[in-house]
Amino acid sequence: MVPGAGTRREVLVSRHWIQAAALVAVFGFFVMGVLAFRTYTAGAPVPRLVVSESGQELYTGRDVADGQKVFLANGLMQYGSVLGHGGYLGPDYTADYLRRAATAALRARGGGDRAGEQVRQEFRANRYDPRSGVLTYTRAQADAFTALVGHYRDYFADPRTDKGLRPHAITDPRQVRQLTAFLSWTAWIASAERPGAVYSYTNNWPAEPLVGNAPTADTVLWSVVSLVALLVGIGALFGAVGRWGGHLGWRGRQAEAIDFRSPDQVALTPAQRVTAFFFLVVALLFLAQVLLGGATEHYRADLTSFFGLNLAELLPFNLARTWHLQLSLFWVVAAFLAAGVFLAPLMAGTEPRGQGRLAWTLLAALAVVAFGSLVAEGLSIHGFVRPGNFWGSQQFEWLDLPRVWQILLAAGMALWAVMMWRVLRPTLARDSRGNLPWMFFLSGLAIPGVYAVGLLARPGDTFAVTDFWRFWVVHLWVEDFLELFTTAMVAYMFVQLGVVRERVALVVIYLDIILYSAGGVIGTMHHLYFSGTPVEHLALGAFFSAMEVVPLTFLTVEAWSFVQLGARQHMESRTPFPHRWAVMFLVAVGFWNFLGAGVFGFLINLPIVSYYEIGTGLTANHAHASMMGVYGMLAVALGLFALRYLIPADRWPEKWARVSFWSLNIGLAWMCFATLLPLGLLQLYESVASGYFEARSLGYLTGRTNTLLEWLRLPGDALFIVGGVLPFCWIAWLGVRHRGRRAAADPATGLTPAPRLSDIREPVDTA
Amino acid sequence: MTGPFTTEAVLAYGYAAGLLVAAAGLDRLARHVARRSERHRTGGFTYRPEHDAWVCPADQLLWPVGQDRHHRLYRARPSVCNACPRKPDCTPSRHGREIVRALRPWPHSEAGRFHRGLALVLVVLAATLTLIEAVRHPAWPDLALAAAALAATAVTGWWLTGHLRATPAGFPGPFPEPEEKSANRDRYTTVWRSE
Repeated sequence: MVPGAGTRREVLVSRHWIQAAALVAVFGFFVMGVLAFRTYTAGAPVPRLVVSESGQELYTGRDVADGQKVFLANGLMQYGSVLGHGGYLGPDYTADYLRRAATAALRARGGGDRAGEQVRQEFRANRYDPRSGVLTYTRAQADAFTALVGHYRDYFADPRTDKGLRPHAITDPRQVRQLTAFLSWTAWIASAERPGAVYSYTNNWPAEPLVGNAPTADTVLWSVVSLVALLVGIGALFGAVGRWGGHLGWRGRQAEAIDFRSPDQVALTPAQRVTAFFFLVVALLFLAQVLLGGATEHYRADLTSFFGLNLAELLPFNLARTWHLQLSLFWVVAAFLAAGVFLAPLMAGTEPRGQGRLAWTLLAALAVVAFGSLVAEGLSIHGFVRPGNFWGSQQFEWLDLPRVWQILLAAGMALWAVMMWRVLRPTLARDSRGNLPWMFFLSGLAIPGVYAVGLLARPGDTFAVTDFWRFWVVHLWVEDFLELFTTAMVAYMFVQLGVVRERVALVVIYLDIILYSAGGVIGTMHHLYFSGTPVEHLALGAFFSAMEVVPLTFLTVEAWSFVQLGARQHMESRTPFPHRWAVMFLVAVGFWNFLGAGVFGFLINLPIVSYYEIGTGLTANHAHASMMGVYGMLAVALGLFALRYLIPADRWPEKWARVSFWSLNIGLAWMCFATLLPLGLLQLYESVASGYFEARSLGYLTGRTNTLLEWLRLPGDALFIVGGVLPFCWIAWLGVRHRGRRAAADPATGLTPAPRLSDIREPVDTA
Repeated sequence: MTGPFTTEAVLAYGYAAGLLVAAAGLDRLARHVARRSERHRTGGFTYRPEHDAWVCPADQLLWPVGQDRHHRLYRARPSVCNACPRKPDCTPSRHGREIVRALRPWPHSEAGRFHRGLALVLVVLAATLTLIEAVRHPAWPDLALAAAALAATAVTGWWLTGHLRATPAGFPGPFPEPEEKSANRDRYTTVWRSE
């Protein structure tokens, strides 16, 4: 099968697969390039200067940029939100400013219908002069700005902690003024009409009748179109599968008979043994993350005290949430990287000298970045760091880690890519670029590559621009590239186990690229409906992200079963299948992919729903069910797969793996169905019926019904932490304690042979 | 107020009823998964109960060649398969394509158990919500709704518990070594030969 030196193995699948995947990816990124250009050229402008009608300077464009830095550095994006993006406990400061400013203007005009109409016209009129870069506020708007500087000064200087913020959060009058300038600018782009349009720069978001903000025709139209796209897409896909599905190759083909090697017979390479420490770190980060999640949840259930303790002095809500989100990325990504380190030698057959030391370096680097960035975020939120500081402050939601740590993390992942290359080099040299080893390597290479794109979001840039690049990481990196890499890893896991043919695995990977890229790449824009980007972001985002649900449904119903099909054929083996719980976690991934990403995601995806829903409980519902349900379960599955070989067979804690599986899944289901879903539905109703401002107010969130629903989460959360996470920590600890059986390196070449996980009993006589 | 009932009661019991529907949906999903497993292993093949044989897409028959407690094995004639142009997409074996009918193949069995377990979680949650709401507002017309919701929860719970009990995890233990299992027919190593 492997030809002589200098020639490559033939590609295993039809070239049409490669062409289709390339075409879809090129199309997606071409459109994204156009949208990037439009974001810069047609995004909401930041005026050079804002003056009152009398010519008095109110604030400058520089103040807006600095105000955004103040907003981010104080972790306010992890407390409340601007333009709908951020945390859900605090208010949406755009809606907050807009309501307060419009109410002040209305009061100044004496109230009544006529005054209401005047205020509406005043706020909708666009008095920005693009040539001079000067924006003129009306007298009422200017007075409101001055009044709101005072309001936010008192609000952020509050010595009490009953909002969940630390006491005296922001006291510098200059910073408060800059912050108010930033909020005022977001409120201006939310109400002033785009030149030549009858809606604001944010497509009339937020819903605010005082300034005449209501859903636009585009919002409704593209909601309908995306709904149609979803239905037609699903129908077309299932039709195609019914017609040509037999050619995909994973149906109805008999597999060869194999025997799984007992974990005791599998001798591991040095780097594979180091992954035991990776998974212990993963488990501990997971534990820290869920404990912090418990703290943030407690704030929502009882804002004023943590069982008698004033937690907000040390760990205010925004810091707990910052760490909760950061750690969720850290432990999942660390698990994926560790799984890559574990799988690469299996693919190559050997591991070069020094790979173990590199694995230790990578682990140390990751630990330093995780710990260092968390400390920096803590210092920033506690006010020890200057806003926008390169070393200590960034704090976009999900991209919280300060810039230097962000660069180091990208560098760490690049080191990992180098490690992959070292191991895979001989395999890559003799294999076609369309085959599995190359797909594995290229998808791995994309992990640091796409993550680094996030560096284009800088705290002082225009909000729309920062949001555009931020979601390249939050959505595209996670949705497309981690998904692709994990599909490649899971596929390879089963190829290694001998239960799935390489060709079938490759077809699944190409199908994954095509289906996810078709919707997922441009679908990134569904986060930017109302961020100040032009309307095409909304149109394309809505249309393509609806198509994203198609693969989620399809892969759940069809392709994930290749995993199950693969695992099922262990029946042919005389030796027991070692990966019962890894496979069960993959089954759970399929379930949560469908429910958490597909159903709960689509629930909030239509622009018309998002218009009222963005920044409320249903987003948290989708985030938990998809982030933990898909990526969390996947990370645990990969961990258990490797740990099975790191722990001797007679020490394998089968019972704790089962307990962890059931507790994590029951806990997550309880979390979603007991609290997040009903709470989100009620909040959406409140948002449409009473108003977005009201639905986001602390008064509403801490109401009796909400408080009850929040407390109702407790049993599920407790089960999740105690029954789910702690046993996983114990299993990871066993991995470190035993660290598998060491394989001997070849003294001449320094290469360590990689273990085989199964033996083929009945040889294959066809490709 | 919604009719004689308070809005909150209608919402709470309505949500509990919704959870029961979702639980029933999950139960169906579990059944679907089990059926799908059968389809994957026998895709394109049709069972002919009158002959107890399968017909493959190339119109050839697979006859029963062995059976143990949990499985029944069918195999096509090797000479037919080895000459078949569709063999690469069908089987790597030189001894003819085989189909194993398993009553409860893993992991579909345990995936079914997973879905049914989660369905029961939703039922427990529906009961919890119903009871909490009934305690919070023990007013008469609302309590009628609570009683209806509880009755529905009990019926669904009983029904789904039965389903869960009937869905064993089905994870197979180690298979006996070939020399130890002379008592059973060895369907793994014996080769059915037509000539």
